[in-house]
Amino acid sequence: MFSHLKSIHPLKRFDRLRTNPSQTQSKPRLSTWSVLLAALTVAIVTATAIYQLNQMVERSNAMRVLLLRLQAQVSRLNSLEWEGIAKREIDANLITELAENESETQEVLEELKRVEWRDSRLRPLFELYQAYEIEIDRAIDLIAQQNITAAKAIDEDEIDQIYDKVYLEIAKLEDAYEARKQKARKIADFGTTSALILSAAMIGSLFRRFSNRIWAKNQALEVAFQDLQQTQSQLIQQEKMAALGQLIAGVAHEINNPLGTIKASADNTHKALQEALHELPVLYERLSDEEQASFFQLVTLALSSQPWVASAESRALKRQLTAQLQAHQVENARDIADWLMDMGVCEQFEFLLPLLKGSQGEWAIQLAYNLTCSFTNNQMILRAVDRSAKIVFALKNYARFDQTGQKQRVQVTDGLETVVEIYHNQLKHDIDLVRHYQPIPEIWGYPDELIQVWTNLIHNAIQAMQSKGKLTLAVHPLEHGVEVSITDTGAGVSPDLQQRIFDAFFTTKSAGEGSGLGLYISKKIVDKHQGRITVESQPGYTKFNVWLPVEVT
Amino acid sequence: MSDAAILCVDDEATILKCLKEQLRRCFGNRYLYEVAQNAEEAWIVIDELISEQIKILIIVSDWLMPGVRGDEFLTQVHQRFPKIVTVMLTGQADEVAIERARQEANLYACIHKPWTEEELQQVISTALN
Repeated sequence: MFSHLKSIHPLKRFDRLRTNPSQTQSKPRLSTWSVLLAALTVAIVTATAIYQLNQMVERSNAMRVLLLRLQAQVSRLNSLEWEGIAKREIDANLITELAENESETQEVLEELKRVEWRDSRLRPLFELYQAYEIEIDRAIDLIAQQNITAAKAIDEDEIDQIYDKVYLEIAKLEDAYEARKQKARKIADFGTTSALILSAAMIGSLFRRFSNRIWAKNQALEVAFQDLQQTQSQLIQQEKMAALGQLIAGVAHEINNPLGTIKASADNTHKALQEALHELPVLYERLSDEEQASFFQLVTLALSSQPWVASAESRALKRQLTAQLQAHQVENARDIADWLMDMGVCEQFEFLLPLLKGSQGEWAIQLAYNLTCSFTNNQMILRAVDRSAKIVFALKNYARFDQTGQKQRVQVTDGLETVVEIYHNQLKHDIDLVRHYQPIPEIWGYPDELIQVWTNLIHNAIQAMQSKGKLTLAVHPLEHGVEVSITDTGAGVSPDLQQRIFDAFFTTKSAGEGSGLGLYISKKIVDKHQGRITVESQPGYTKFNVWLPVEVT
Repeated sequence: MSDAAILCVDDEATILKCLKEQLRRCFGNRYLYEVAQNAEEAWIVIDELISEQIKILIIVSDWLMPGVRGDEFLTQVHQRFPKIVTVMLTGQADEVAIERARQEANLYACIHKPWTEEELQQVISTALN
């Protein structure tokens, strides 16, 4: 019966619990932290690169705008020079405009240098522009000297040539910047896409890792929960076994007492009859007629009497009898009184005086005792057998294991009586057991489980009263069901503890005395019957009420 | 008349009756046989016997009794009357209690229920010799 309890050692179960998570979760090759660090580095690098590329695109755009402005300035300068040729002079207006043009062009050139100061591709443009400016200055000087023809000649030969070159150079640069911009944009787009893909992959990997971890934790929790449930049901079973073990110790005593009585009584009868049969043939020789009459009167009286049980009263009677016998000069008065008391004869003894005063007195008393004691012994044997049968019946009821798991018709008082019988040796001495049983209907339920409830409640009551007090068992019909009340006169349960006594592992008993599961299990069983269990208590009075419905749905 | 007694203590009257009958058959008039149903009553009997100047030789006590248990009672007896031989008769073998009685009450023997007359006779005879 206990083997299944031992099959899973608690420590082994905890080992399994500990090792499980590491088995289900394979060890990652890279730690989460290194993945996070790598992701962060990639993000920073990508962001920096994209920023640089964007800067490049912006610079390329700025350069194109500046180059267009330069182109406009160059063309404007050319127009101003042509205006001078047309006017054949450099008037004040033209001078102002030339100055403006120059400063604006310088500004554009400065700006170009500032934006792309490292770009060597700009040098030809600057050189060309310088040459262009020199030729324009020469032409303007010639116009100012009214040498229009020479100016025209410069214009048509050198200036136009340089002008075309400048235009070409600008166009070339514009294309280069446009190409650079496109390239940068492509790289940036590629970088952004790659970074996004990489991030997605990393997030995915981390998510997978975390969800794996959570899954593993869930699994571990589930295993722990199952183990806990298993442990709990094992504890409940162990509690039942412990209660049974405790009872068996008491029951062993209860059964060995009647067995001792049976064995000794049977043996005593056997020996007494042997002795008596040996003595009987000489009875008529050893006793006179008067003594014989006295002898048979004693035998008849002894058969109809009950022996005195040891008590203060019986001892007083014995002393009195001894004194009376001594007064009649009976020898061995004390022994004779003892024999007579054991035969239940003490009040009328005068009829015995002829026998007791004779020489065969003690022999005759002993023979009478041997002849009659078998009746008393037989009675004791019968009572002891009844007692043993009752105990065995109660044990059978208690230990019955209902394998069907089906509800049955239960007479609640039968279960209560089974438990009372089991606890007989603890109840019989100093506990006043009072029964108030009203007729109640049978209910549908689980008889062996209900017996466990009564066992817990009665056991607690006996412990609470320290085996001394009054235990009241009351049963009556109530609200389509039955109510069982078990009341004791023990110390009681304080109000704040009353809330908790049905909790698992809650106990007020000292270590080793109670597991703290008795009432918890009782409540579970009552819940299973769709009943209710309540407690009311004050010092010297504790009452547990259990209500059980007739029908369980 | 005998001036020595054997006292039996057990909460079951039938056990006491059986014990007394067996002892009387085994030892006849050599001793007085007294019985008590618990330790408290046993002390009264002990005091009565002492006042009658009767020497108690042996006390045979049950272990599981209401009130004071057998081992405790025999220990108290041993403290007051070290010469009295103590014997335990028990239906429930509580090894710890027996061991305690062995040490603290100088327990002479422990007889287990159900017992035989021969067992009882042997224990008492050897104890008294």
